[in-house]
Amino acid sequence: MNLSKCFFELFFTAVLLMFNTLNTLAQLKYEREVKIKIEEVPQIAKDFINVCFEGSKIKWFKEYGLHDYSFEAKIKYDGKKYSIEFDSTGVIEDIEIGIDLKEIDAKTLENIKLNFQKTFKKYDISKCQLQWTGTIESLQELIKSNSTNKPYKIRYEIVVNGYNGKALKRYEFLFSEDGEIINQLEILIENTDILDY
Amino acid sequence: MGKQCLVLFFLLLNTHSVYSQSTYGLGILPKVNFNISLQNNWKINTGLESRQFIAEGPFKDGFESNYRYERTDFTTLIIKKNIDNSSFGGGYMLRSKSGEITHRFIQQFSMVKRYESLKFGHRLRTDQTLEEHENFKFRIRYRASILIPTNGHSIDPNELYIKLNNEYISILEKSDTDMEIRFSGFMGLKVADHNKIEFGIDYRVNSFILDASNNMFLLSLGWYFSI
Repeated sequence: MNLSKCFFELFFTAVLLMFNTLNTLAQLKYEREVKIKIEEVPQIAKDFINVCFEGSKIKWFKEYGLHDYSFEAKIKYDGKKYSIEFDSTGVIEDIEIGIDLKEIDAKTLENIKLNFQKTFKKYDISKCQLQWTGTIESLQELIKSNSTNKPYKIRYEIVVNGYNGKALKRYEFLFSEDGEIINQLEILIENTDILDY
Repeated sequence: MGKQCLVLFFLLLNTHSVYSQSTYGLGILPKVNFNISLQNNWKINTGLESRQFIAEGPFKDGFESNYRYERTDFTTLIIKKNIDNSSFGGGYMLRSKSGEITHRFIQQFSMVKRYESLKFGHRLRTDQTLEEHENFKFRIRYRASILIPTNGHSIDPNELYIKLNNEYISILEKSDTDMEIRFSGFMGLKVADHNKIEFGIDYRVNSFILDASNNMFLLSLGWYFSI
């Protein structure tokens, strides 16, 4: 009985400690993604999707960053996963398509791997996306026929777990069409304690 | 057809007989889980868990409230996290039960895989238990888990999540073997990435292969915190 009392005292002390630490943890950087109804999406974004993906099932999300927000449509189309990102006014920012690494041009992939080898002691690629940016017309043509004469840019967004000899971290890399690093962001590794213990 | 009906009838009769001897335990299982990240992807995990019953006995006797504190477990594990979201490690559990101390040595391998918005967890554990007046016990256990966000593709801070677990435990004691199966469902709140609270129902059944089964229904309350 004494042990039971002792355990409860410890448990509730721990809960009080938890609430005391919330202020510190609130400073963590995060992106919050919320599923939204189509009515909340700017018309200009809906128009773009309707032209390209008529009849497809579309999931809409609102993504909150630290200072702004954006809209994202997730669609399965022609056997591929599309993520189409719009700014807060509904202007298209980019299109991302989930791909396998082997779909990347061999020379580009070699450069990407070389960059990872220079940066990390060990690495594990967990996600790879082809990214298109360009005008509305060029992007619409790319979705419909996978090619266009209008100007557009190809980039690759790759999420990787990298170990630099000290710590294991998760990064999002943006590579050019040639496999050169354009941008590198550290993203918070989601804690998996509730699945491990 | 008549013969098959007769066999089914006797099977049902037997099931009823076993059911009437089956026992239940209704209790609570609060736990605190604390993680400390070290250099080179090592972690120390400590857990404090206590089990108390508010009612127990044979099913046939019906529900009768009777509080009983059963035990407290204190576990420490040392875990190495790998680059592919897997981890391995081992540790020790100290259990205090009815004034007696139990020692358990634990080895575990776990892996988390993501598919769309879902996360799947696999955990394989072996453990060896030493306790006074009892035989040495060896167990091998596998747990599959699924983590479901309630909004969007990932669990964000201040978002609720659902966690479902299914675990199979094979127990070897002297020359006897037994099995325990666990199902649990939790509703959790991610206060922050390193701070989660959850509650749910944990159902455990054992001794069901040869004997009348022993069933436990536990209200589980958990707090996961890491630095």
